[in-house]
Amino acid sequence: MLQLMMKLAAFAILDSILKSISSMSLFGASPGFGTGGTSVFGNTTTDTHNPMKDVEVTSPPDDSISCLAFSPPSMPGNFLIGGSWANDVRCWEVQDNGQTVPKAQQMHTGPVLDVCWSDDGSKVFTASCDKTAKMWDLNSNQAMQIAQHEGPIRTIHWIKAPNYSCIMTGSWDKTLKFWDTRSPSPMMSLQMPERAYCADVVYPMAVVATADRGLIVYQLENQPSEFRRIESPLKHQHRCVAVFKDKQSKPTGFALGSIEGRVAIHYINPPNPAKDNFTFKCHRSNGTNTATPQDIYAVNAISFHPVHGTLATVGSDGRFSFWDKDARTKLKTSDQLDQPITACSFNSNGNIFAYASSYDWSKGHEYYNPQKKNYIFLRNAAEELKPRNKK
Amino acid sequence: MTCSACLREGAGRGDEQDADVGTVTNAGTSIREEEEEEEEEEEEEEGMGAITDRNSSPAITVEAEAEEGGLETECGQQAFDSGSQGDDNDKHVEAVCKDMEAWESSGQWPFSCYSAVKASISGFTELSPEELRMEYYSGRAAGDLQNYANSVQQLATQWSSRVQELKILTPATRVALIAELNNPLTVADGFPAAASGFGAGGFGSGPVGAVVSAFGSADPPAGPTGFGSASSAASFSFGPGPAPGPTPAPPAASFSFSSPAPSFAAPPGPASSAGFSFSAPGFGAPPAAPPASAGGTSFGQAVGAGPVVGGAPDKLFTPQSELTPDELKEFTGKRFTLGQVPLRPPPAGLLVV
Repeated sequence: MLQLMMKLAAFAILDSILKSISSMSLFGASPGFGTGGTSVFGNTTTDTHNPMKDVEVTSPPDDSISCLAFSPPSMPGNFLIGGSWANDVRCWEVQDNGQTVPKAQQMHTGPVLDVCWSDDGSKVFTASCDKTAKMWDLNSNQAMQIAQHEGPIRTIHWIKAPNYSCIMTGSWDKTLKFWDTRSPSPMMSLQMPERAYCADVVYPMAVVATADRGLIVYQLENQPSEFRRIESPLKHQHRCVAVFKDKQSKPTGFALGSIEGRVAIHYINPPNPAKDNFTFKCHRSNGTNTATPQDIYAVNAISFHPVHGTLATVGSDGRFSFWDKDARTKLKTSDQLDQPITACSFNSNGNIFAYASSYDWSKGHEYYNPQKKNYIFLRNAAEELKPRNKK
Repeated sequence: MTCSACLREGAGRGDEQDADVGTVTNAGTSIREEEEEEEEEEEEEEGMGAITDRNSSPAITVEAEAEEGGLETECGQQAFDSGSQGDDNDKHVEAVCKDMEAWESSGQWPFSCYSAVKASISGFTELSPEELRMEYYSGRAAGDLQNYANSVQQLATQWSSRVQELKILTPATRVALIAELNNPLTVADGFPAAASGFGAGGFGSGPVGAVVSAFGSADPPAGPTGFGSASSAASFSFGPGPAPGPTPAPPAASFSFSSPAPSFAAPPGPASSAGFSFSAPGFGAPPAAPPASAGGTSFGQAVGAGPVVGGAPDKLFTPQSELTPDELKEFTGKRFTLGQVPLRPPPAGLLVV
């Protein structure tokens, strides 16, 4: 049904493109699907905005949610931060009974693309298309600029090393910069081959994936430096990355997702790379019929469960999936939401899985409906993320 | 195929083995094998490849059936060359063809790079959804979405043409594709583990060396320099892109953009705080500063000095004396810089096959 709708839309749109190419009048052509107030994905008569019946976070942002981050274990309680395309960053307290309480909000002058917490939970760092990053002191509710790039800042991470602490920012200006929050100049600026698309840090490892399938691992001991550039295991655009740890809690590899419904599991120094590293398909429509091509969706985010080491992926198809990378099995796939899932995060003890439902621009501007509500859902993750072959 | 046999066999063994990291699980497949298997796995439901609940034989049978009665495709009829190198080329070209078919019908993001056999294939624009969205928001804030619409349409057309070109190869484009497949630019796999001691299990059991208390300010970049213009806000250009090969057919894109719907009376703007209550004693009052509109990036303005836009090439080679300095730089370089691929064919002398 969905496929048929898309194909009809494609023909209608193709027709109007051809007309507009010849007549050069673009406005006034048929707008196609998705511009009304109805939902884009799935059936419009049944409300499928929350098919998993998860807890809805109150007062969600007014535009697509780009990033989510839970407070670190050093803080009592659970606080959730969410950044959005409405230029805001919001903070909610998540109480044990599941109730969510809006706490505070800060603004940038451009869409917020990434957020992170300091290790002690006193500060939140926010990165924006306005080319700045800010440090938000939650106790005073004051925010100040702590970084500046020449292009939108796409990734922001807090680094806590034994001998230093700093903020790492990755930008579309192709640089990776490190900031002492007290100084306006970066402590270090590393050139990258292309725009930063996603990054993750688990000390002492940092991984940055760039445009054109760039993949760089940095080591952070003593001071950050490039460790290795890796030939990408994926064929298409890199979209999200998450570092995973071994049984001794040391970072040992990463999961990398692309726009082509696929995730690569890559170990930095495996005993047998050919066998230990692999890729798997995900976020695709059920292709049981060989005559019908699959729909392939982007993997928008990957998060590892802090206790079990299993992972969650969320996609443009409006589903989330849980996986066990060691047993190489899928643990669960959700029902389909009526919007893509754009971000996800586990809380510090792994009991809560938060995921955001909003439009990710995967079908261009035509499917963007500013009136459509955006959601953040909370799900109990204690049981579903247990590894398959738990000893 | 041998590789799939290994996979299925390994799947069973993997279950019984210790799940500790560092122990080799035989349920793995190399990336290369994975690529070859993709053609067979098209109809499999999504999973990690090793379906542990089933035993090996049925899985192999299913894959074999799929290979024979699989998607209707023109890709299997691309065999031209003979000999082992020719067979490899045929195989790779067929793989590319199938990838293009899948890409076209899958609805996946079109503005993505593409690579096959570890070689990056030219002619694709790499643009993330966020970058595109940002262009839209900037245009909307400036009150002008025409530029955005034009550029997106152009990108979509270029993508569709390139996909068609790689799906239905002429002898010329086939030669060019094979050249690209056989001359991949190897990734600079430099920077050997200077901080040695990255053991099998973990990343950082680093050396016990001198500890630098604080690293210096604004150090020069550690990586190789000269990677395009880092100073521009938008490193891609919505200017005229490469127009490789024969005249593109009208695109039958399953993913296409038309004009934006004219229903945006007023931009939604940044979120108002009206519905967001502040009740916690821990945090103070919300900030009062009203947000300004998003800073615009240089949309539609030419980024960097691109090559001169010449007319459609009607000869096979351009004499070297006629090239602009930028074009010469691109042709003599190891690979093209995205957004600066020359529109004219190279001189015969610089053609590397």
